[in-house]
Amino acid sequence: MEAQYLREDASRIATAADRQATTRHECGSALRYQLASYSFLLPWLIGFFALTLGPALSSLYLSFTDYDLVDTPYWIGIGNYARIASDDPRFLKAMQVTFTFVVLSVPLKLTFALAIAITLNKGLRGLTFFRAVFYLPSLIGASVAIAVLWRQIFAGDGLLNKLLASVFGYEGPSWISTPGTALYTIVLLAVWQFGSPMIIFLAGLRQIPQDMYEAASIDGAGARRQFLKITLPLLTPVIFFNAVIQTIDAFKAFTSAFVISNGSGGPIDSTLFYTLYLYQEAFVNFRIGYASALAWVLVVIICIFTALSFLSARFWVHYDD
Amino acid sequence: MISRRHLIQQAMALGAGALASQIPFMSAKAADAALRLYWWGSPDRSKRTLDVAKLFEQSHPGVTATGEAVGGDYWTKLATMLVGRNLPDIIQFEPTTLPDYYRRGAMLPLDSYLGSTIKTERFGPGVLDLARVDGKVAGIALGINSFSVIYDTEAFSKAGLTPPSAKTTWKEFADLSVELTKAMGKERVWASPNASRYNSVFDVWLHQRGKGLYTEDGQLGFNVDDAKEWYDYWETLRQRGGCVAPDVQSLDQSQIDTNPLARGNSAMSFAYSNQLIGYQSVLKQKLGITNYPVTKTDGPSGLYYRPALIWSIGKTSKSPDAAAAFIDFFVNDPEAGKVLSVERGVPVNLDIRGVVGALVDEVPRMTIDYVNAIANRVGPYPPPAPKGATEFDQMVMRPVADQLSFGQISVTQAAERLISEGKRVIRS
Repeated sequence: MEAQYLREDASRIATAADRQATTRHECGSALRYQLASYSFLLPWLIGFFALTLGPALSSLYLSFTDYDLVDTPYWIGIGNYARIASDDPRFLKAMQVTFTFVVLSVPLKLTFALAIAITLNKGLRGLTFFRAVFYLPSLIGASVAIAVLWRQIFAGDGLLNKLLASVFGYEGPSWISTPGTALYTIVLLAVWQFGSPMIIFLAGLRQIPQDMYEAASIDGAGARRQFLKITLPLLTPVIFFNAVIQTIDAFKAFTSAFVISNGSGGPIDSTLFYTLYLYQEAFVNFRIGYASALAWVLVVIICIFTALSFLSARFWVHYDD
Repeated sequence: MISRRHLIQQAMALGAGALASQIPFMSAKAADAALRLYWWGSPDRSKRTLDVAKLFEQSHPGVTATGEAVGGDYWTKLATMLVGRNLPDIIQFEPTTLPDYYRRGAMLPLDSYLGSTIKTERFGPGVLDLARVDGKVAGIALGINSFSVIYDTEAFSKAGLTPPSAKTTWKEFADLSVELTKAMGKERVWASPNASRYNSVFDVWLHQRGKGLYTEDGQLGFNVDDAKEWYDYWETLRQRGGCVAPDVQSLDQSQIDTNPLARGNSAMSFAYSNQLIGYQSVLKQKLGITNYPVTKTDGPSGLYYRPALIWSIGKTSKSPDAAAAFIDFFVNDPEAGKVLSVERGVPVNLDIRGVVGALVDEVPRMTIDYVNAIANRVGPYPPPAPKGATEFDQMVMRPVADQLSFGQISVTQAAERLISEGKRVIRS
């Protein structure tokens, strides 16, 4: 994302330079300015073409083949896509798991992040300290170590059950290996990583002019009313941004499910995230062609969701202008 | 002042210097052989393997043998190296995966080394057949093992019960499991694992009925009634409380450290005989070993000797001769044999088996005794596993058994699903 901003900045500079160059009627220097801007972009460009666009295009090609990592890929047309659409129960299961995860984790995470941001925005002493502490899980949360920790907490002889046993005398099951609860432990792990939307919310809250609250309280609006009529509407662009980013992230979730289920997506596929299924097809069953097709289906799903969010934004996101 | 040109010159000189200094070193290395080993397993196995590699280097000056154990991503990494034409020289296999790799032309047939570089005259009977694919010797079995029940002797003695033995039937095993679980009387501790998701146990169960997991031509070797009988046995045992709860069993990834016995949730384990040494290294209680239960006291054992693990040589290896010499050293050298003990199975070289058996350590001796004790009851080695066998184990056998034990489907549904999904993934 940063790279994108950089690129935009750079092209803006380049256009400015162009204009300057044309006014001076120096054709050579226009080219030189452009070259300079592109050479600054070079690291990003190389990364984009070699590491993102190249592999993406080759996976698009492979999705129409039966590539198995060893034998030469053989063109099978839309065979892989046809199988996804008509003949793959695990694809449906993976969709169900992933949608459940997105629908639960994104709103919960955003609510949590907003609540913490509002609390922190109350002019708390030691704000920077708390901000850092609450952000910490997001920094380390995507790591394998935290997922391993999670597995220990929710295991049959884990921390949670020891707590339940000593406080309530309740013998809990192994939460991560019971089909009914395994996914929710991962939702919890995702919600716990509320740091980055929280920081963005906090920045958004700071943007809201204080005089609006003053005016409202003079007019007799209570805290609840102020929140509903001032904070929320003015925060909608930030909520929208966070929702889009978190939804995309949730669709791509992989590490936690992979580590907690030991790569199996179990028990009984209850944590079979879309990306985990894709991984299994590609690197356990070596159906690279099929996995590539799955990857492109995911791209389309994410695009549709993002497009829908942007369409809906018209009705609920308020911009200042 | 340093000009840009000056800087570039300097840098180039430095680079060239570094390059030049590498050249004699590189050519010296190229003249000899540098073997790369690739295996999976416990730290204990890694230590033994590297110790043998050191012994080999001492007796073969100029040849180096290095490598490391790879964990969960073993097959992914191997497949990636195969595509990158960067296979290690010496690669560890187990019997299910070797045929697949060999048939893809990734492994070197070893027939031309047999009797010369790799000495085979002291091998036990049939050892070379254990890694034979399409008539060619695709690897060398490093040790043999068989199927076994490993049990906690202290749990049985405390409960005043006799552990299972060679003639225990499945029915007796079930009753014993229920009794032992009651006698132990501990929360979340049961006598037996729920073996309904282990394809090795199902395989032996089928062999006891004159069948097997797969047929000669690579189809499923059992029908829906066999599967029903299998699931019915374990589901009944689970409901009687003789085997572990589903949330314990579904954690099992068929490795020692995820197994209910090793995790303290069961008193017995269905394991390969060479794993006794691994289990004993993580458990304090004294362990015992016996064969799987049988259908009738005098019925067939269903057991067969299988290669515990296999070394094969990558086809792209630059020094196949040195690699073959390493495999020979690994299986035929007495000092190497002492280091390896029975951790990769009972030695295939009968002399080495004697050397290891004469050592005082009790666990290796028990392992060898067990493998020798079943000698006149083992059947022939089954045909190589068909393509998709691994997927059948991980993505069909385990989930279907879990669905049954979590109560999502019935015994009949489980049996039908095992057949229909099995046919889907097994491609002969």
